[in-house]
Amino acid sequence: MTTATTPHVDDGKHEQGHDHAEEKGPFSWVATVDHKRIGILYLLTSIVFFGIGGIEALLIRIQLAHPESHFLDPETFNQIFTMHGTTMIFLVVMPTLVGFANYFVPLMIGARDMAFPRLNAMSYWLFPLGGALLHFSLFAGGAPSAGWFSYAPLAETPFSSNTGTDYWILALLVLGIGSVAGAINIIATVITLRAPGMTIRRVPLFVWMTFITAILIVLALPVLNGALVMLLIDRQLDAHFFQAHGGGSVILWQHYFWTFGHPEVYILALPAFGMISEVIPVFSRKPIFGYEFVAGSTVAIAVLSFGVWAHHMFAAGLGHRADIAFAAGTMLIAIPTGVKIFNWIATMWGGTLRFTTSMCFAVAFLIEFVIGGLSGITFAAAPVDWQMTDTYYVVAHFHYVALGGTLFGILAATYYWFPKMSGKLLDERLGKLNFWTMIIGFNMTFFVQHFLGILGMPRRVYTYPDLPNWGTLNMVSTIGAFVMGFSVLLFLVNIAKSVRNGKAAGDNPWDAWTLEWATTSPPHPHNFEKVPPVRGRRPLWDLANATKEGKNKRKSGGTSTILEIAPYDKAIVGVWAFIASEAMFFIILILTFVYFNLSTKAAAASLDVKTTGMFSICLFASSFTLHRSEKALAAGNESGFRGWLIFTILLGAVFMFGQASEYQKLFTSGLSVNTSLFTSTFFTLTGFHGLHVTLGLCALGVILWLAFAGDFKGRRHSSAFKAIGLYWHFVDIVWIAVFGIVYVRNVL
Amino acid sequence: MQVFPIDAQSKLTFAPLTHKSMSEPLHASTPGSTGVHAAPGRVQRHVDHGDDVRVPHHGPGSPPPPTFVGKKPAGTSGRPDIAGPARVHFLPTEGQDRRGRVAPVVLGTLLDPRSPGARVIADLFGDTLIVCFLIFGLVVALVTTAILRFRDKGGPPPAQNEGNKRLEIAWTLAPVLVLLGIFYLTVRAVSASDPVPDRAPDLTVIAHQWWWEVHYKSGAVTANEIHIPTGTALVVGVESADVIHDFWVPELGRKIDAIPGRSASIWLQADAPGTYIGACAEYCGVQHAWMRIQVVAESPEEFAAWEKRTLAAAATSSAPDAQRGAHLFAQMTCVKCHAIAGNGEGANSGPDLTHFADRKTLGAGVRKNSPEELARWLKSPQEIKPGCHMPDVQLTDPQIADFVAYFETLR
Repeated sequence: MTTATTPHVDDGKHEQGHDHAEEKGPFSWVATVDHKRIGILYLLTSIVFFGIGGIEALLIRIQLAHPESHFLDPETFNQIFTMHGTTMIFLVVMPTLVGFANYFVPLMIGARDMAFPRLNAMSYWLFPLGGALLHFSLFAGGAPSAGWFSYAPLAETPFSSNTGTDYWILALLVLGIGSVAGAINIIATVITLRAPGMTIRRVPLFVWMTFITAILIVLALPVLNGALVMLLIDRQLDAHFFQAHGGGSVILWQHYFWTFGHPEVYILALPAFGMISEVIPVFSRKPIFGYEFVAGSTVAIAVLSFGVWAHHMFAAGLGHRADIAFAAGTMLIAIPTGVKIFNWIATMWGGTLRFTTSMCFAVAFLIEFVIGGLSGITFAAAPVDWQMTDTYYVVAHFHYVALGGTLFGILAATYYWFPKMSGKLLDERLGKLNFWTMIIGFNMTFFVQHFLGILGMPRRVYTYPDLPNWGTLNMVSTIGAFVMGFSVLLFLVNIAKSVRNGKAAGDNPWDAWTLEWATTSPPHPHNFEKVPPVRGRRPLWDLANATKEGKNKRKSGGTSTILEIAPYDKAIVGVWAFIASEAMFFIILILTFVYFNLSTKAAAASLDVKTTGMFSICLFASSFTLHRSEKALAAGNESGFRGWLIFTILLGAVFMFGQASEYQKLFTSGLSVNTSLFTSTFFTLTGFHGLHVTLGLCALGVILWLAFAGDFKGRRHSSAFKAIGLYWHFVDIVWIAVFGIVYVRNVL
Repeated sequence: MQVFPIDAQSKLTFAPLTHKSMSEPLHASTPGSTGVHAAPGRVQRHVDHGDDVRVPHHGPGSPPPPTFVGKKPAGTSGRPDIAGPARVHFLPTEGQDRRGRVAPVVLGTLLDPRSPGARVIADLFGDTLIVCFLIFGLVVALVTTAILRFRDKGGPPPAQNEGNKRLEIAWTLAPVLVLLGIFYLTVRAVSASDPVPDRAPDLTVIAHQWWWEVHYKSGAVTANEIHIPTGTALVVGVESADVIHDFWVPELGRKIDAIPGRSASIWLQADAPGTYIGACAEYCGVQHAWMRIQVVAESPEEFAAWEKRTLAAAATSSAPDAQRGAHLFAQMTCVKCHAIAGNGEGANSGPDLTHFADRKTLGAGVRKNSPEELARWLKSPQEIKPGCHMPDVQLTDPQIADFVAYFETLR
């Protein structure tokens, strides 16, 4: 499949069509496609949303500081906790991690930029757009208030009639598309743009973990997108996917949401694991202990994370067998996580530890994250979950994972990498103050919440009765939240102060050894004057110690793997990642169709299998004609290339005409999206397929236009054309599945 | 057959249990048979010997030790002396050892189980926590040692150790063994704490936004308050009328979602008389916070008397204000949502009020049920429980007085 000819190290700058060095003024930040600037934009925007989400958290804590408080009315409180969760997950933590990935992945692998700089800019701009959409709900009748996982049917129109939930859906769709695009970019970058010598077993662990995270995003986000689309159709077009009274399934939403939701937990955690895996070795003056195990356990986590979703649903009463099975899966996933903890400790063991603020946060991460992990183990024991879920115990648990884990990782990484990004060191004295106030505030806020849960306080209550100890514990938690707030302010002050007059950092203030430290701080627009040779996992260490240790010493990560055998074309890698993501989306739509229509063939009686079959043949044939077109291009036969391409487009158009006329017939016979579950699933599935065919036709149209403009003169290869071709074949294959399941099964 | 039932009705498919009392009639008094559906093994330990720290042993005939004992507020009528949740306190009851209650008071409800099922879960939780503390201690010890021993004191770089396969395998396998242990305990606890009900529900709880409708097999109807006889395990059917709710009484066992379109059932049992506070645990909309429920466990005789009383039609009174109130109730919009047997029936979008005055709380726990609070509630339910489905009906003060007089007769 991949007969690419692009060089191993791609010259990103060349393809961007303009020179980074000339970027000046505020508008250059809007128009930028430089991965470093985009990374900074991600981080700055995240800080803005972090402020919003943090204020929401403080409002929640003020309201809960004492029993039967009237500070906020219940509807406002419910909107605030919904916005707090959604904001912190989708608008703060995810974009922060993507921001760091954007800035450092290319630097750490010795590349000039991301594989697709323009796509990168698009991914970023979808993020503020999604954030704005979500917050626009405030001006359009009220914020969403169904909680961050919007359980149906509470999130359905009868129970959430304002437009908040619609904006929530749209925002998450926009953010989801941006995240998938960003993830595809990271995958293509890591696979195709590594510097010579940077084998897959030598890439820094942050890159490893970000790469695995990107794969998780590509596979998990489309599941959410599919579910969101159906919820939106329920709300806007009156269908009943997730409403019991129309025959739909309330619990199906939970299955879909958590199939996304649990991998999402690792999407939020893995990059932080990667940050810790960079920081601890550098400040221990030792390589990471058990690189293969740290990297390999990440893969194990990623795989297992798709098999544990129902542990979020133990209280739903799925039956003992399901509960036991998912309890087992959940316990399994603790093992690779535990392996990492021991490896980090072993890295410190025998080292020379330097307790910079960055290292302090990394060590605190070890302790705090373990608390979150261990309370997770108590939840894996399903009966304990039957008691503890939906209480403050679970609130404590996931905040220990998300803050004690991810936030501490991010803070460690910020103190570590800020000098590279700004050229200035962060103030260590303020940093230590930031550290200790954070430790005190964080544990004060969340540790007592374990006790509140054990006492029986449900989560998501706007107030609570004056039961013994409840008031006191809640007050402690609230005071802790303010200490944390103060700590965050110190952090921001430290950044602002250091940007203006911090100590100059120099290229490599920590004596670190990954490639980002081989260039200036901040790096110049094209990153490196010259990428140092990569002969091991720690290129700069190897360089510094080359003479001492002798050049013949075997360096780590020497063997090649399949990913090194052939240079890959980034367009092809990108489109395969895209296809994987689209496949997940269609799998959800197809599963939904099957789930609702498995037992009722009669509902499909209104379909005209023969006519659709004829049009389907056109679509299948178009894959063949497209193949002929590719062959003709490779043979240098330009008119053949164009002719077969036109033929392909015509066949696709005929198929779309067929679908349009089928829809027309169904509509006139009185069937529409909201008639029955059959029509809802039918129109959703075939409609989205039709949309994909249409997009494919547009892309092929652009190729044709370029062909007539002479763009393919004298070229026998075009990765863009090949990529679009792959996408077109994929769309056809989806139709084979859809046609078989929706139409043919009906005839049999 | 599905691997797991995505949306199947909660037809639980485990082998039926054979414990004696499960098939016993609802009102059967089985003295001394607390822990009737307990699993064999360690659970029995508590039952047989009485785990004195966690579970005070209440033999039959001992004075009723209510879990929540309220201070009697001044100026209230003489109804049962258990206040609404707004004013309840954990207090040691007469004859109980105060020191013995320290653990539950500090560590709370879940470590103070009051039913066999809850006890199994509390034990599992305790065991898991011990394991977690040990692991946590190990991690803290290792990290602390590393911090103290390997601080940078200048000097040459340390040995560049890149890993050790044997160690890696060791710390992969050790957690596997620990988790196998926890998994074993989990599997054992799953069926012991939540035995599969072997019969149709003895009572059904239907969750509404934001109150609980309760129907007994006998036909008795109530709301926001469940009465059960002590020492007998009842099967509770849990359903929803609108969104997903969750029925949860921490001291008495697991929580279970009330999901529209399906019904679940769980066991409910209390070792000793008392009022056990529960709540909706699944976020269900604006007044999720005030969707509380009370389980009143009483002796089988008291329970039988309560059920008999509840089955009767509403009392009628000859007092003129109460009669005016009854008339108003039938005339105004009240009957569209609320039923009072004998004075407007059938409506169930609000709680049945036939024996309203018997209940301990108003508005699913938001206020104690007293004439003063009731008057305030009728004046403006939206102020007390904003967003609830009871509208501000704009009653005049005399109308409210008549209503209060009428409702106070509904025992």
